[in-house]
Amino acid sequence: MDLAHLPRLGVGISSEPGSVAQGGIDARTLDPSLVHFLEYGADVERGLDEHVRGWAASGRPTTYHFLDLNLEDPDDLDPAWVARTRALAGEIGAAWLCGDAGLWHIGPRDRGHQLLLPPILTPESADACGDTVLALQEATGLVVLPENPPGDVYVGPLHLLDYFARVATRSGGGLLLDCAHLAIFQRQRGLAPLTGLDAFPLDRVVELHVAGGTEIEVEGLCLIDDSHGAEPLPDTWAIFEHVIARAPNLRAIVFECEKNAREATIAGFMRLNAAFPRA
Amino acid sequence: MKPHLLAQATLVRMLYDPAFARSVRAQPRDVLHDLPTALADELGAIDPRALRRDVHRRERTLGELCKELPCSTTLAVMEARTMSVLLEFYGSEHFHSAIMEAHALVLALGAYLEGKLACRTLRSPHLAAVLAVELGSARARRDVARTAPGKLARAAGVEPLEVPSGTLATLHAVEQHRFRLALLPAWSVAGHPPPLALPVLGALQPVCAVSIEGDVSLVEVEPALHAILVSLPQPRTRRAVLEEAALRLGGDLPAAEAALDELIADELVA
Repeated sequence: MDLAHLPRLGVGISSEPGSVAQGGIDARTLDPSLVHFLEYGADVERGLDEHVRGWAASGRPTTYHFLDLNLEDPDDLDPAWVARTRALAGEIGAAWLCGDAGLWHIGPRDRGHQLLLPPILTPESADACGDTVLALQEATGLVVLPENPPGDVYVGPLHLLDYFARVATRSGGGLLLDCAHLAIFQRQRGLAPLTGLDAFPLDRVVELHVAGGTEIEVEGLCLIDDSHGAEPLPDTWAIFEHVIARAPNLRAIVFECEKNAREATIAGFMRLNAAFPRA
Repeated sequence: MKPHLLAQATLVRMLYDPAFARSVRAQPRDVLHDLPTALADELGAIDPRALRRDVHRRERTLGELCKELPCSTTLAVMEARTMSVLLEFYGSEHFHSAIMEAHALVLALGAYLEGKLACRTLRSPHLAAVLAVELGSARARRDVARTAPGKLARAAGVEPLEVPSGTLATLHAVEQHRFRLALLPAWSVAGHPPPLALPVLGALQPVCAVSIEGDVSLVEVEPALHAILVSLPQPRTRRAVLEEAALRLGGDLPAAEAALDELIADELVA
């Protein structure tokens, strides 16, 4: 797939159904020179909210982040879900689809079945993920960017980056690299933040995510909570700085920070804009 | 199931059921004999503290499931006098089978409570009656159309039930009780919660749960209509349906025929 034709969206902010109503940042109130697009994360059950509708109505760019597709399981891609997702993305004029490539729901999409687990890091899983990405692209006509998810537990022999490199090879498409999630993985495996990036196909990276994390301790076990705070960890910034200098097809960066105080996020947006100036 | 999907399902079971996680840790290759040994070993080597990171996961999920069985789960906890009667669901075969076979967890929780009633761990007739309604409604909500060439089938979302008279009054009383408790949540930790008076239950009555776009209504139905609906768990020929329904109606074939025609006219059977 030719990634070069994709539009350059700039720096954006994340949002989910009802997040503004619950006190989250209203993207429309942010400085438009700092925040250029909105990434809306939803499932077909909840759909769109007034916030994203208002943003889209103003003609500003969006992307649609699904929260309800198990990319590891091609059978999860049922026609009804595809039709509803395509309609939601179409209504807000999403430039592309993206979503964590893991387990979003146990069994059927049903009450109480929601969670998020990272994929099982095996070659077979990566191939299945790549196949689902391809099928979803064909079914919707939209580019689909699989994202590396967060996790407390990672199972399988592959490094997370090797897994997603294989996904990209299989699908022939682009990737969304979440720098905070990668930092979580590296820390869990006892690896340095940049481990594995030298062999990773950075030319496939179309979108980056950056978010704050919180170091926590569970009965003496040190973990990073993907808390989406306003201050990314140093490991996350290290990954970001490394990748942005080497990702020729990068088109968008999302600062996942909508649940924070507006003022607390400004420094982050300024740093991201400095690294990825608007064309 | 492909190994990576099987491993995911196993990990979910480990997250929700600490006893299962311990058994995997103790003997991964024996417990997970369907998995490649490398994946079984990795699952067995997971630090149990990482599985416990989300301390509210079990309660959060259970809370979602209880939203569809609100009165049943209330009566179950009232009778058992402990929340563990619900939390032990995660250690049950019902839960593990639902994960492995990709079934709805709320139906599995309902079946788990039915099992508690069947083995007399729980004995409340009011619980049995209310569970029949709430679980029937949950089934109706998830029902999908069944068709087969040349055969009749119930419309999707139509679930015939038999419950004692007084069941709807019981549901109403439990709902009011829950409303009252929600006004003052500290009541839930009081040693003496407010009393709940339940109506007397009587003879079995035929009713039907009907789901329209997820909204379920409970309607009383004539015995002949009910006999037809319960004779149609799967698509069947008209003759087979009428034979069974007539038997249920004491041999009254004309009544069965009239009821079937009425249900077809109302598009509840097609």
